[in-house]
Amino acid sequence: MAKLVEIKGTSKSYDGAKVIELKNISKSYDGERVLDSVSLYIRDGEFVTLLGPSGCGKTTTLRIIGGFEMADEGELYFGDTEISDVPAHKRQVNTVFQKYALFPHLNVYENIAFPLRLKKVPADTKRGTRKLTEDEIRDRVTEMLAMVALSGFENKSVSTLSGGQQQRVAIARALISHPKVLLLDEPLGALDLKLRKDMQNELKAIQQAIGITFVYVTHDQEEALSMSDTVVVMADGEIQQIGTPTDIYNEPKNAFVADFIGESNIIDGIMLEDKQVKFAGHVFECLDGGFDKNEPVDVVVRPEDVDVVPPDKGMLRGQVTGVTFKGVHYEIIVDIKGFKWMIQSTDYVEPDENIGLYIEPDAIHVMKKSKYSGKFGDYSSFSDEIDQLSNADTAEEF
Amino acid sequence: MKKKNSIMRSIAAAPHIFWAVLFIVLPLIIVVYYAFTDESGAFALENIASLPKYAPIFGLSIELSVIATAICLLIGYPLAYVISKAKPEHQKILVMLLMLPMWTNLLIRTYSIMAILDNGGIVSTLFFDKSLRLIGTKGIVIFGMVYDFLPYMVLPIYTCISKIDKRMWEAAADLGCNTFMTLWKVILPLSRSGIISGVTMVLVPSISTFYISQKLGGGTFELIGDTIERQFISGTLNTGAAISFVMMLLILLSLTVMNKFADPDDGGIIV
Amino acid sequence: MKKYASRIYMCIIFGVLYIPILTVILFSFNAGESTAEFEGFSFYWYGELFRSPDAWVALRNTLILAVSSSLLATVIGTAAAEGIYKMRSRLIKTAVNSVTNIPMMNPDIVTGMSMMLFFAALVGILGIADYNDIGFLAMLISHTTFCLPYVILSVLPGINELGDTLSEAALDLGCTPVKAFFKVKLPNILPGVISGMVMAFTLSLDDFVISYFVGPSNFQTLPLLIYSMTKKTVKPDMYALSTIVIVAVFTLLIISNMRSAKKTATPKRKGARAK
Repeated sequence: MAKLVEIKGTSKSYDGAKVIELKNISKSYDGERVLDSVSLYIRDGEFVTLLGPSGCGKTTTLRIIGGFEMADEGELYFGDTEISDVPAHKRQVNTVFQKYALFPHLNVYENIAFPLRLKKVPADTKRGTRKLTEDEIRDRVTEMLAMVALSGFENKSVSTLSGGQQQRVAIARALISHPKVLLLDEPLGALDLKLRKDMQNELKAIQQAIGITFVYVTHDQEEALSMSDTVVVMADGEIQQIGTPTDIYNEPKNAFVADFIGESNIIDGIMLEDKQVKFAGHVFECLDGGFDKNEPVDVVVRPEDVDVVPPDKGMLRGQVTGVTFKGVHYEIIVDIKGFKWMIQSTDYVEPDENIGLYIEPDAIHVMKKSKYSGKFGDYSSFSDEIDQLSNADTAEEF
Repeated sequence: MKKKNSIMRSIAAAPHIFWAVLFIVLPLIIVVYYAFTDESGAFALENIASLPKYAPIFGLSIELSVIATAICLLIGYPLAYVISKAKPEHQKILVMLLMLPMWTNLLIRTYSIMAILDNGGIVSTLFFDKSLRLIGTKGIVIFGMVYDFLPYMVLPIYTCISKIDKRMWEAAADLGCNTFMTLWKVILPLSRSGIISGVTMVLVPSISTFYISQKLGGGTFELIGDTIERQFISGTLNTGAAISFVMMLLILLSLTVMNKFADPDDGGIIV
Repeated sequence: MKKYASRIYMCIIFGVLYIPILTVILFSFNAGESTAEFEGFSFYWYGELFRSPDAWVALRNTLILAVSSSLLATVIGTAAAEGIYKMRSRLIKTAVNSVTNIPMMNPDIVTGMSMMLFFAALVGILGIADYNDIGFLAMLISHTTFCLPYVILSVLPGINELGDTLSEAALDLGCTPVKAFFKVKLPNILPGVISGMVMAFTLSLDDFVISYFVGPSNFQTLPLLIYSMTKKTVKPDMYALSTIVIVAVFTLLIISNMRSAKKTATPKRKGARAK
């Protein structure tokens, strides 16, 4: 979680005008509700990421903004204008598609020039409009190719390009008509890890250079945290939390967000009073307040925030059931009264050793109970694969 | 607004739907109309009532076409299999060789068989017996059907077999099947939809043919196609319509039954 | 051993398939009048055929009919494929597909009969004095009708494979839906459209049964001419005509096959694979 340190401080608050606003948007396919009253606004120049697992409704949300799907209920605003019924080709929004959707029958130059050839600009002399001249088009395409570092690729066939190059063409094509908002639908999903990291930086740089709004869809939480100004976490067609990456990580609103973003131990607890929470049989000091007396709550403790101490000095004691070397740290699974905790520590401990755990007040985050309570947290059965298997029937992306 | 939207999406199909209703559905309705009226246009059941008279002809048509289809399957399946096992570049040529006769006009192919086998034809000339006549038997009519329609059987089966993942063979061998068992237990079931469309494409034209039986039957055979053609020539359209109607029902019925056995996705018709 | 068995098997079947066709071609060059005894090589019957006005008229009619019906079927069929692809309701989709496939499933003789009765009824209702007046129109409609399912069947897979993504990208970049179809979708499904058109052309060229039922007396096509020639004692001029038809169809077939070979040779497009 070294990344966390970097992003702290980069998150800025935006007070630009709203460019896009969704009001109570709902959408169903074949009677199945994929979006349930989603409300969200996006400010000018913001980098917003819609984050969530497959089937959470993030892509549908993006497609509604792009105009490829019409919402069943709710309104969509572009600035102050309602655009709920405006077809895709009349919206000042462009999209970078999941697998680029470059036109295979056109070369790189023609792909990027495509929107310009459709454009009508005010005629110079009389009233009316004219098409762009070949020179104007060439200037703009050349400029755009330089921006995405593809100068000299004009006459290449798009099918001969590598994934990263296709990606750049797709970005250039989407940006050339200067949209107010760029929508990106898992644009890096098809790239390998190394290229992905490079492209993340590059995308962020492009966004900052041209200063337009990016709405980015991904299921990769690390990508979301490192690139965005604002992250919108979605699950089951609902928005779970909107916030800066730091907020989302440090102050998850419910068990779903806590589990989906980073690793976390989510334990049932009882809020005895303000700044006092009891879990795992121990009363802890914390920084949270505003709950009812003795209200049942979910408590999140991040694995890297737990200190391993000798048993007699620990607030909690348990037996180590597994240790895995992860490079930077060891991942230690500790059984505390039947609940398996995950702890990340740079100190090695022996399996079956009894250890104590020490948790600082600011490492404890208390959340209200939600429908996701109790679904996550115990690491005894933790496995990505098993998670996927159990989600297999819901894994289809909308 | 949603309703309108969903109709507008498919507006491109409108000319076709209009066309299909006007020129496919309506003509079939007219066939039914003719079948149930007499020449003055009044409702009549006599056309339908006269049908039992044609039962032996129906019987013969079904008999010959079913035999021809079975022979096509027996000859065609191994051929399709052998082609699918050839080298890819050879496969292309073999498929072409199969398609060329298929696209040669049926009249020409059928007539040329007659010209070879009829008295005064090539075979009789070769045997110095001008009166030798090999046509006019059930066997030769069946041969004509097999000859004319065999490619329609082979091509769909070939397409189906060649689409089967090559690893199926390895998997079956790995699990202990010998070649024959692999064919029987794995390949044959997987090529079912090819077989079904092959059978359809042979059975339908054989059952309704009139040219093959006219030329190769030597005037001694009357199949159901000949009967319909005769009604058409003689202008007894109501009877012709009634027979056509029954034949259509027969075929649609057997197609429906056969399609029950086909995989829904693995579309069949290949031309 | 197994290899030889399968080769012999193929040789026998292909031999039987080709002997009659080769016989036709061979005897079209016969110097004599017989279709059984070869009396020497000559182009006499081709000359005879070229001097026959019937053959020229039939050829012209066949071509006019094949070109116009295949074009019409391609336009209607391609639009239909796009429309069918976009249909949301499975029920309507299935219904349209079933009706479309009727001419393909039905025996030609039934289609021919139904068309004939339809036009006969039309003549009666509209009070047209002479069937010949609408003869060409009847042929055009009939041929277009039985070609339509083949065009749709050949265009649909391409549209299905292409998916919505490219069209959506075009809309996103400012195309109207109609422009998006012509500028992006059509160029990418063109191979299927062209092979559908070639198939429609060939089917129309080759059709005998439906033309036999619908054809007016003033519009004879080549297959109808061949049929009328086989009613009498056949002279090698019919063989010469057949050979020409065979060669024409073969050429078309080879052209369309070479096209599809080229298509499979080029690498699969990456963009088109998006779901």
